[in-house]
Formats: sequence, C-alpha cells, structure tokens
Amino acid sequence: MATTQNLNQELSGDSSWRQVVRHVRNDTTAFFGMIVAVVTLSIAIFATIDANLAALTAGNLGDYTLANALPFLENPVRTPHPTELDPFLPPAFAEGGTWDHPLGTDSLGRDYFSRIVYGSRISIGVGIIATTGGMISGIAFGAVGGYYGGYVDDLLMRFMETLQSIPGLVLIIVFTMFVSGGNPDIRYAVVGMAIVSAPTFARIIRSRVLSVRELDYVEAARAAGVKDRNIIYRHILPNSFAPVLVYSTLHVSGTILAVATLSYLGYGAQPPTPDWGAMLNTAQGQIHSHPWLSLWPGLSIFFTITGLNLFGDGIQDALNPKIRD
Amino acid sequence: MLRYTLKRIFQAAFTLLGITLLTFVLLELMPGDPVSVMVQRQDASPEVIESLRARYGLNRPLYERYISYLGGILRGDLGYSFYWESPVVEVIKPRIGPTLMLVLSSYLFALTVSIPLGVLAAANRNKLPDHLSRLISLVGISTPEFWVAILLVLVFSVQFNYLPASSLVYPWRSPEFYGYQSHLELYFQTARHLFLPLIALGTAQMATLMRVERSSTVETLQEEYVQLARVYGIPERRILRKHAFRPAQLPIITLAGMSLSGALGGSVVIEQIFQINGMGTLFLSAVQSLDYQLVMGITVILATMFVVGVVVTDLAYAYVDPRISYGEQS
Amino acid sequence: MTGDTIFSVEELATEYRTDSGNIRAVDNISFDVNASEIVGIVGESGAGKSAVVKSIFRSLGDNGDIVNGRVRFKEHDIVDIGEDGPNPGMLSDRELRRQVRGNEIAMIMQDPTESLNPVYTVGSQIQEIIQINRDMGAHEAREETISMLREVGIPEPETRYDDYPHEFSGGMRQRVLIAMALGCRPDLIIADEPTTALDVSVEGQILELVRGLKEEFGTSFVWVTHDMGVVAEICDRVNVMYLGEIVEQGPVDDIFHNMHHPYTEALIDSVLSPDEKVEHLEPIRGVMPSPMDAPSGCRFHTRCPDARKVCQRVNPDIDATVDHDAACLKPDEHGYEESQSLENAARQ
Repeated sequence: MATTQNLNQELSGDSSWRQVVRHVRNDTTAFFGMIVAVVTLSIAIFATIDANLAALTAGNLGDYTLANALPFLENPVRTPHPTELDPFLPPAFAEGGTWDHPLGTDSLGRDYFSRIVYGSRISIGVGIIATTGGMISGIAFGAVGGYYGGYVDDLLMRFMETLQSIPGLVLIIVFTMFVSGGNPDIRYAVVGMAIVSAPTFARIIRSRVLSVRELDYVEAARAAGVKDRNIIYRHILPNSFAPVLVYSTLHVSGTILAVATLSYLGYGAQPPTPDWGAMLNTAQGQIHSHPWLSLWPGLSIFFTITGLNLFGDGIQDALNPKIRD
Repeated sequence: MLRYTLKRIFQAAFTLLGITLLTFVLLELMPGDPVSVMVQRQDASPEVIESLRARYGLNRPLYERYISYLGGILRGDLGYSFYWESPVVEVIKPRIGPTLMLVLSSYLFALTVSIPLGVLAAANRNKLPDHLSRLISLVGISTPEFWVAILLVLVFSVQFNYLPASSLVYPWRSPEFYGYQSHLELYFQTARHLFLPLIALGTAQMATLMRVERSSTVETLQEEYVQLARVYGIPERRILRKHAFRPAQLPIITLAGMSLSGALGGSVVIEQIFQINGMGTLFLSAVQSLDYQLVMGITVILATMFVVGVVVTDLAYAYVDPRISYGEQS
Repeated sequence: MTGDTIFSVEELATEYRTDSGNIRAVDNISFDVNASEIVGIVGESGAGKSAVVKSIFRSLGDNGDIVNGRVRFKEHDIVDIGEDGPNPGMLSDRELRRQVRGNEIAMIMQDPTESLNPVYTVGSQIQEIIQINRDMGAHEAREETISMLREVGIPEPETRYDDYPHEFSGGMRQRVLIAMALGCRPDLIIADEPTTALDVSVEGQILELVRGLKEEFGTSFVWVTHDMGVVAEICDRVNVMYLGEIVEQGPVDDIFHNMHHPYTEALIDSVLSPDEKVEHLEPIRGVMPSPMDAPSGCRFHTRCPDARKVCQRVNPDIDATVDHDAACLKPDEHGYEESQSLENAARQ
C-alpha cells in the first residue's frame, strides 16, 4: 500500500535511525516525551554529581536550604541545629512556605525538593542499570540458545519460561528475601529486576538469531571455519540489535514503575536515602494533614514514566509504519 | 483442537515441573533446615529433632528429596508454616477466594472497557475519540497502581465518603454473617467493597489492552481482505463489526494471558493498600517473618494460576483462529 | 462512449502526497473496455498500475487524490473530476458502494492469501458478498455460492464451503476469489495481478478458467499484469504503461506483430517463448526511475535503445498510427530523424 510512510522511506532511502529521528522531530508527543526523558536524565546525573546534595539529603537536618544544595558553592555540610519539624507548604501556593524550601519539608524537616531531585537518581539509575543488566544476560541466553539450538536451547528456554511464570514483583521480593535474609536493599531490587527482565530480552534476541542464523553469509562464515563465538559476535548480534534497543527504551519506564512499587512496599532504597516510592508510602500516612507530601513523588513518577513512554512510543511508531497513518 | 489442547496441557505440565524444581532449589538454599525452623519456637530434645528429620526425610539424597517434595505437592502438601503453625495449604486456602475475586473482576473490568474504546479509537483515527483514548491509556500505563489506589481512596473515601476503603465482602458467605438482610444486599455490598480495588488494579491492564486493541484493529482494517470487502460494497459498519473485529482480537487474547502475571503481582500491592485478606497480604507478611515454606507455597500457587491462565487463553486463541486448531493443509 | 463500450477512463490523473512533494502516479491516461472483452494493463512494478486500479474503485487511501479525469461505467460516473474538483454527476460514496461496487464491478487481487479473511469459512465469505450485492436470502445465496465454487473448478464444493482459507492451496484460493467475483454477476471484473503469486502451471489453469468464464458469462475483464506472456494468452486489447503514462495501446494481435514503442518491444523480448530458440535473454536496461525523478521529455528515453536528443525534450502524445496508438517520436515526429542518437543501445 502506498502509504505516506512507505513512500517516504522508498524515496529517501533512509536507514531506520534517520526515520526515528525524523519521526520524533515531527511528532509532538514523542518530542515532548524525549524532552522529558532528557530532562529527567539530566536531573538524575546532576543529582549524582552534586556532592552537597547527596550529603544533605542523607538525612542531615539543619540549616539546609536549597541554596546550600547547589554544587558550586563552597558549602560544607553544617552540623544540624534544630529546625521546625513540621512540613511546610510550598511557597507558590500556600502560606507558611518559603523559597528556601520550594516544595516544603518532610516530617523530619528535610527539604523535599532536594529529596525529590535526589530520588530521581535512584529511579533513573535503577531503571537503566536493571534494564542493561537484563539486556546483557538476556542476550547471552537468547543468543546462545538460538544459535546452538537443540537441548541447550530447550533447557534455556524452559528456564526462562519458568522464571516468567512467577509474577515479577513476587519473584523480586522472594529473591530479596533469600539473598538478604530479611534486610532488603536497593541493590537486591536491581539484581532482581535484572533477572526478571532477562527472559523477554532473551526471547527477542533468540528469534532474531534464529532467522539470521540461516542466512547465507552465516553459512559461508561457518564453512570458512570461523569460530562460533566470532560468528555470534560479528555477524549475528549486530543484526539482531534493533528490536532489542526499541524494547529497552520501553522497558526502562516499566522498570521505573516496578521499582517505585517495590520501594513503596519497602523493598527498594532504604531510608534515609530518598526514593519516590518509599516517600509515597510515608506520605500516605499523613495524607489528611499534609497532602502535599504525596503529590510530589507521585507526580515525579508519573511524569518520568509518561515522558519515557511517549518517547518509546515515538520510536516504535517510527519503525512500524502500519500503525501510523 | 483436541490434539492442540493436549499438547498445551502437556507443555504446561512441564513448566509447572520447572517451577517446583526452582522452588525446591530455593528452599534447599535457605539458611537452616525446615525442622530447625519449625522447632525454633519450641524447646525440643535432640531425639525429637532427629526423628522429625527422619520423618521429613532430610537425611536423604537430594534427588530423592525432590521426588518426595514433588509427591507432596501433588498430594496437596506444600510444607509447613512455622508462623501460623499449620500446613501451608491450610493457611493459603481461605485467601484464594479474595485474590481470585479481585483479579478476575479487574480483568473483566479491563476487558469490557478497553475493547469497545479501542475499537472506537481505531475507527475514528486521529479524531476526538482516538485522542481521548490515547490520553486515557497513556495515563493508565504511566501511573503506578498504588498511586491510583491512593488517589481513589482520597477522592471516594475521604472526600466523598461514598465507597469503603478497606476489606471485602465475600458473596459466598451468608448475609447474616455481615448483618445484611438479604442476599441481594450481600451482593450489592460485595460490589461496593470491590469497586475501588478493582479499578485500581484494572486501570493499568485496561490501558495496555486498549492500546493494543486500537493498534490491532487499525492494522486489521488495512488488511487486504478488509479492503476487498469494501470494494465489494460491504458497509463500513459491518466491516468493523464482523470482518475486522474477530481477527483483530487475536493479539488481545494472547496479551490478556500474559498480563495475568502483572495482575497477580499488582494484587499484592492493592491488597495491602485496601487491607484485603488475600494471598497478597499473606505473601508480604510471610516474607516479613521469613516463613520460607509459606512464601514458596504461595509462589507455587501464584505461578500455577498464571500457567493455567496462559493455557486457557491459548486455547481460546486456538478456538478463534482456525489456522491453529485445524492445522495447516495445502 | 461508443456503442459497445461499457467502461471508459478518460484523462485520469492521480497523485500521492508525500513529505517530499506530490507524486503523479497516474498521468492523464485514457482507455476503455467493451462488453465481453479482456483488456490488459501491462508494465513493470512502479508503472502506476495499482494506482489506476485503486483510482477506479476510489479506494486510494488518505494520501492519494484523483486530481483529474473521468471514469465511467455504463451510465454511472464513478469519477468525474475537473479543474474545479468533483463534478455534480459523480457518484457519492454511498451510491458508489451500493450501486457499483460488487454488483457491477468486482475485483480480484494479487495475493489470494491476504485477500481472504482467515477466521471465517470460505463459503460464508462468498455467501455474504452474494447476499449483499444481489439481494438474495441466505439459503439462495448459499446455493449460489456452491454453484459458483463448482463453476470455478473446486471439487466437492458443498464440503469445501465450510473450509477455511488456509485449507486451500494458492491456486485454489485464487479460484475462490474468482468465484467470489463471479458470484456478484458483475459485467466487469478488475483483476490486479491475480496470477503473479502462482506457479506457472497453476497460472495456466487459472487463465484457461478465465477464458472459459468470459465465453460463458460474457464478463469483461481489466487484467493488470507485468507479464507480456499472460497478455498474449488472454487479452483482447492491451495498454502498455510506463511511469504513469500509457505508451502504447491497441489490439493484442496488432501490437505483438507490429509494435511501435521501444518499451513494448523490450517487454515482449523479455518474455521467454518456447517457440524460439533464445540465444540470450534481453533484459530491459536500467530500472524504472522513481516518479519523483521522472525524466524530461519522453519518460522512457533514459532506457530506450533508440533514443535521440529530441526525445529528451519532447514527451510524445499518444497518437494514432496506422493500426493502433503509440507514444513515440520514432515515426519521424519533431525532427526525430535529424536528431542525434543518445546511444542508449545495449552494449555487449
């Protein structure tokens, strides 16, 4: 069918990457999503490198205002002195707030804005690390299984299937329980998340490998005596990568969501490290008296995930002309 | 069709076997052994411990233990919960009903909302219904279930005091149990209590299903056979309802099966928020108390539910798609 | 329209909108079809044949527009668009659907696998179409369906009625589609490369079937193909298309014995014939350019062995030569003789 997309493709002979770029540029929502994703990522990176911020959110009370959190000021952490313990209201909206604490403070008087910003580090970081970990291990399993076939393949696939039969959240919590013996931590959540992510990546890679494996130039390479390992690295993997990358962008947002849920239940980052899900849990208890506390973490999660989803959608749309116009 | 059914059941059995193997391995890895955990809270003499060990066969080689573990499962023995001081199966049994009620009703909700909306969006591509549905599904996908739950509680329970924020009413009990006058009231209250949790759990699923429904319908509408039907003068309405609808449902069926995993996981959180006495809350408390046997027992049950669900959806798929059930002929 | 003509296309032009501009996929073509006649449209991929078919049915999709022309079937103006847009006589979508589509004009598409709905039985699909287009009851339509299946040579049609498309072979599926088309008793069937996806032997059977059906029911066909061999076998008249234009048209016998346009000649040469001993295959040099980069002057000049300089400047109209029409400068037009050769001739 001579859709616009197909015609565009044929006419300009674009590679997939160019298509994606062009689509995202044109499509407002995808572009917006990309902006959000980039912004969140920058915030997370900023939060990581800003040592002051790190120190201050680690629970030190005290004369801690936003200004103190900026990285380029010479502001060693001061010893805490008593401050109000009550949560303020954000200054833009309500009385009693100050610009020193733009989003108010939490029950322990800690600046909420910095906690939110710092929380992005956990969310994005875990999202990326867990997805990468899942991707690498998934690729390893899927490529090996797909390439060698036979009972190696069968075994690996059965194993993946078994993992997938257990609901992800349950699996991660069980994993944490066994490994930590009752002391959950964000590290276990990351590893658990990677384990849960691996099977889908494995499946994607495996089906690509299965189809690429039969191609002539692979046969030729094998006939020429090229080692299996090299064949996989040099011929098969590069060709199988595209769907993996598309999926991983979508997967990061799903991971962030899952991690938020985990930390809400208490299996994510432990206090005093700020983490959006955990913050929501604490805020929930005070929802009647201080509803603001629940708003910011929830919105942060929502916007981050929405942005990533829009961006991922944009990528998917760009590569799948049938769903577009 | 029969052959395919048997094949699927056979495959599922294998997966279940794998699950028991995984569970067994994990239980083996846990610190201490079942007996010491069991007698932890009571004083017991060494002879008793030894005899218990023998009884549970802890001094036998690994594969034998696995066989007996497997045998136990098939007989309905999932181990012993030290916290509750009863067999795991007994602890889980009363919890299955609430969880099933929650999960199944949220599924129903998701399906009944997403399918019509998705088709509507596809039929009105790039017009208002489409944009609206895309907005809804985007929000649904991007919002954590627990936040939806919190917001719902905030609005409906706190603000308006209209819907209850906790626990469920079970329709299989008698009305007198709750102090209701009639069965009708019993069912009404069941629905009323189920409403918020159901929506909280079902929103994410609904959003995903709606998207897939839309894209699947759009794709199907572009198929050659649909275009041919148009060329032959079939009215658009009929095409949507008959020609495009059924083939478009195929991905939905598969997706519905797959998303059961997410639904079961989500029910853990939702049950916690709404204080529902289902398997989810049991799971969380079991993990807290490091009740390994109970945890693994719940895991096995949940995994089994998932596998059964997938088999059911696969069979439904085969029923709808004659290519699967009738096989290839040329 | 002359007496015997049941279908005519006049000055049809169709464009597709793309990000890089509009492509003229069909550029002012005209042809007609008489009763009980098979008219071919032949050309390579990209010539615009599919666009013509879609324009006839007004099923171009969101990014295609008919910008000019008339398409008439008997007394219906399926397409009637002038400079100011559609003229009032043109059928509305609803009228088109009810009056023309199906019961007057039917279609057979290229890929029989994709043309049948996989989740419904073959019989029910045909029956529905017959019911809707011929205003029959269910029982009657079912009888008719079975009879059509038998007509196209499907054995045991009563049983096969309840089979699903995937239970048929490729050739059988195409027969099913022909049965579907015939079931509506249309006077015209548009066939868009119906045998391209089939084995040669199966193709032969289908062609024979079609010939027989033409004789028996008096149906006319517009047969779109890229294979001159097929044209030779079943078409009465043919239109040769290149890059959106018709470059030669006329009775098949005339054209085969007396071809004027170099492209026609090239197409015929590229078909293997069991009669002649072939020394080497003569492929047509080069590839058809994209419609976005249509060559100046005569569009074929970049690949034409007989091209001259003047061919770069002038795009020949389709003219009546002695026995049929061809769009070429060769019979000494615009100073063809004096013009310098472009030396496009195939080099060994």
